[in-house]
Amino acid sequence: MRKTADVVIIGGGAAGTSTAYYLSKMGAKNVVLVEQNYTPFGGTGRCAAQFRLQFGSISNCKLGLLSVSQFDVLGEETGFGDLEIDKHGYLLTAYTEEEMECRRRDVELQHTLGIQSVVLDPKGCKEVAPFLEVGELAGGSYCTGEGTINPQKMALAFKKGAQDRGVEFYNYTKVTGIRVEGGKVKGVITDKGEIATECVVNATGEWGKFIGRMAGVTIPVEPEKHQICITEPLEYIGGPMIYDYRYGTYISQVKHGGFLMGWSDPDVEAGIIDFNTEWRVLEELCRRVVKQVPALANVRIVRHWAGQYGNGPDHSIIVGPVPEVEGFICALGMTKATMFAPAIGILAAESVLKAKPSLPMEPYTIDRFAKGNLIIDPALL
Amino acid sequence: MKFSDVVIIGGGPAGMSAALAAAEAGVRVTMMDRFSEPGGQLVKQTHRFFGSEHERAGTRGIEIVEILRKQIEENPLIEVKKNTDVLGIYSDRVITFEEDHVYGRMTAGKIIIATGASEKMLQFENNDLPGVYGAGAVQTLMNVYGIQPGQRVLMIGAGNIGLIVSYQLLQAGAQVAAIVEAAPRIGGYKVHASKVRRFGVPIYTKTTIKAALGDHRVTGAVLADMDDKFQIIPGTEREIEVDTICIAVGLAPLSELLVHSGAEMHYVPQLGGFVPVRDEYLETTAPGVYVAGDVSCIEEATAAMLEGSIAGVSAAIASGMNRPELIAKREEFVEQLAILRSGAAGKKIRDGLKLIARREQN
Repeated sequence: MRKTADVVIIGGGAAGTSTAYYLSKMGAKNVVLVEQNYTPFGGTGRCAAQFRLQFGSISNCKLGLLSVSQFDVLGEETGFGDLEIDKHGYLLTAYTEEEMECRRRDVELQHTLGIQSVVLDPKGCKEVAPFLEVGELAGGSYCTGEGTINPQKMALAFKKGAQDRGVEFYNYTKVTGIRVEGGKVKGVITDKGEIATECVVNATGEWGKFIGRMAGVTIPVEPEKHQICITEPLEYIGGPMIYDYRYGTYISQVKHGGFLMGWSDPDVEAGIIDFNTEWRVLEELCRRVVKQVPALANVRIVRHWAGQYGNGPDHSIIVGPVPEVEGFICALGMTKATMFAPAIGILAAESVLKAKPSLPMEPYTIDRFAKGNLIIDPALL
Repeated sequence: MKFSDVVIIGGGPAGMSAALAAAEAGVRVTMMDRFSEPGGQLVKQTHRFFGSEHERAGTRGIEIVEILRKQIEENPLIEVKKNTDVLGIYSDRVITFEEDHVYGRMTAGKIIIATGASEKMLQFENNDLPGVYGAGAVQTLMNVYGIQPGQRVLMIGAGNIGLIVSYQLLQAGAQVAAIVEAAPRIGGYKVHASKVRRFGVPIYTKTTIKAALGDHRVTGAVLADMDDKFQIIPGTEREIEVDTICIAVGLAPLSELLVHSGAEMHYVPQLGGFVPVRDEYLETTAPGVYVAGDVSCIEEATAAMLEGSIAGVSAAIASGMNRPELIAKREEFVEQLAILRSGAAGKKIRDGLKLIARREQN
């Protein structure tokens, strides 16, 4: 293992591998990535694989647009190959006139940024999602520029691209401390030895708070368990992901025919990292899904798994420097590390290299919380 | 939610013995099996068992099944869930299952996992041609359904299963063209090997199958010699005309539910693959989760039944039935199992078990 590095990235998920890739593309040398398990063990490898453009805030829409433009070229650029991108779109449902008004407002905002979303009536919803029960719907909004990417392949593509440009990856290497002297990062201590460095990137998702504490940095991110299941394959009819605010669920048919679905349990215990699945969550998820897609009533679930969100006060990313310690850079996706991976990587790499950022950084840096400038995005579950 | 003191997953020899041992100790038992009748692999074992009288030596597997089924049926403490697939074991001890295509769940005081094993597959060219079977499938076709799978059979593997199924194929009127074995010597019992040899079936050691021949179904196979490192020796390839290829290269424990329950697992080749760490009463490192039968280590039905008895009585003792006579009975089962494994044939198992024994934590 190396004794010194210019940059040490902690975390081998979407955010970490992406930061490694864009750092190496921007010419950074002596970059090391340490991961406590393997790529992508954590949230990236367990997520619902979706990427999205239909947001209710300009800052999130911009992250989406920047990320999608990179997804389109990533497989070829890295030589990894197909990333299983499928732009089937999202259908964001609405049940009341008030909710419809929200959809209209968000679509208007999206149009100002060039996002091709549309507002649909119930008949329009049924046309794009024939399996959906639309009887109680007032309508929804729909956009085809978004959809699914294989997150495992994406992270491995970033990793390949970074390795080809000289980044060294150390799997099964657990960070146990961060050396800080005179307010500056001096090294990363792991169970395999210490690496002297003046720059560390915290790309540890749900573990972000704990890595922050090692350097005396307070990061408002809490681990939050989220569970997903997938059914046996049915005939593939495509259609968008159904993103539903009333039920708190998302449902999408993936290419092999299985229906993938998840539910944001409002009573989830925050702060505990475990990957145990729970039958109560599975049953409640199924109850909610069957109301929306009745055809799934007698379909078998073939897999059910748990991942962790690293969630924060406004569910929006934290990227860039921190006020407490010099050389400590955040690259935290805050529930969106996969869909925003390229944007997080680009912005974090630019922060490390003190280069001009590709997007204005105010909405993304950690000091927004102290200033009270939270990103309020009405289009999030 | 419905509750049972002991839930047993798998209704083969180990599961049935566990159910009887636990119920005879006085606790309520639910035994789940994915097939329409319990019995597991016993339902196709037409050969007589070895061992001592205790373990029903001299009796055929198909007869043992009838005895065990009857005892289970007559025991009011045992509920059998047939056509039941277990879906999950959760950390709060809830077991979810699909019974006759309907989702259900229950909780268990103790869980005994006796899911058995699956056949290992061998990689060679055209191994997906119709006419390539696992030995277990051939045995089921012949002995359960009365269907002869082919006329001229090539058997891959000279362990006990390969030898016994070869003999049963001969009994059913099929020809066994050859038995091939990659190892330098025959793995199965001499008595089984002698039986097939008396029929003139050649057993080729240090030999493997390189390819299956045929367009739409098996018409032959390519055999080749192997060196001491199990590599094919080029130039030794030769063809053999057969219409059926039967693969008997061993079994692998069906250990997914053990992994799901959080038990510590290790790969122990002597025991057949990934198996759980367990104590001498077959409790795994997942508290209250026991293991018995082939999923614990690949062995014979006799050992599986004894393991089932040990796990069943242990689960009952741990459920509060810690009476002296039950503890004595358990020691008897443990001793019988030790005797069964004491010979030369049991050395591999004994070596494997040493590697997986649960060590007391300080």
